[in-house]
Amino acid sequence: MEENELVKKAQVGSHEAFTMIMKKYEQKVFHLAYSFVQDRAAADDLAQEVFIKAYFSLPKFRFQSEFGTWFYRVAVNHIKDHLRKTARHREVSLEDVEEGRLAVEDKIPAREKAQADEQRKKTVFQVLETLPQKYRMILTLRDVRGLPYQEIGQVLGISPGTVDSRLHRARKMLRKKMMPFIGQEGGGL
Amino acid sequence: MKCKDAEKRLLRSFDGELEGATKAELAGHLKACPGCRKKQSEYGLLLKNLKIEDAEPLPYFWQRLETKLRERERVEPWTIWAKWSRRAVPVALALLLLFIGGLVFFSPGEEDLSQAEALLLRNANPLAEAKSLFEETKLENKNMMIIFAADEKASTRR
Repeated sequence: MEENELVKKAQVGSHEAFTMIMKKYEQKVFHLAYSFVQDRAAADDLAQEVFIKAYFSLPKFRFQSEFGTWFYRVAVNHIKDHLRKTARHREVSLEDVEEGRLAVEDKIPAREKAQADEQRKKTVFQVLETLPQKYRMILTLRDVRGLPYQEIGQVLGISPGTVDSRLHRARKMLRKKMMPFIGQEGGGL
Repeated sequence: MKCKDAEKRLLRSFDGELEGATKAELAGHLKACPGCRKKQSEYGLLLKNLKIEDAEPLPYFWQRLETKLRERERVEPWTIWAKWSRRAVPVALALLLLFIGGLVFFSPGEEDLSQAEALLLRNANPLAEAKSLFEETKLENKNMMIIFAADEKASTRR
């Protein structure tokens, strides 16, 4: 059965149709939430809230766009709200991310290297959290999730040109904020 | 090429958005500019560190979701109405039309009614006349009342 047919059935109360549609988006929504919170339990909670929101908003869907785009927009907006409510208004300090500052060295043991890699990622994401929401959003959609420009534009309701310029500013801002943690030699973090 | 333009193109190059000539121009600039090479390396590392391995939802995702949905539906019954209203409104209208049609079609005309039924339809007491007849003490008056009542009934039938 086509997706739009399933959506129509779900709109008039079919639980079965709703489950069939949503199962298609389960991974996508969970991964999107996980990209923002990097915690499995928190991402799971967030994804469930997104599905609940979509369920109750379904009658408002008027088939003016692809259902997937509409659904992704519901998810992004819900995540935006969540981030706004849980925003941590703080700058990342050097003390917070001391380990993440280490440059990559070839001779360190594999286990330590893995730990350093993990810490480095953590640092980048901590700094990412401190960016203004619109920059955090676009970096997550593009550089974490790998969404194409066009899809990002549809989900955020902006033109591909704006996607390009906002992404450019966001990456520059992230690099600037990461400067204190970037090793002086060879660009290691 | 200025370093500012090079940075712009460098960032686009990470998305594979650069075409042949521009790509070559950027490569030439990077070869000659150590500052931009450093930026290239830094951006490369940053973007690499933004890639994360995908995790899986916790077990029983759908079972937990269905329970929550049922709970929310109990809390917000209006949402059930919102969900069903698209079907409920035409059904309710059809039922109303059927009811009105039924009333019009099956309600008896006044000419088919007996006097008592007609009085009942007008919400009047059909026994009021009989009561006054029984209460009349004078025989003459009682007889006259019976005659008039019989006459009225006959004219109604006609």
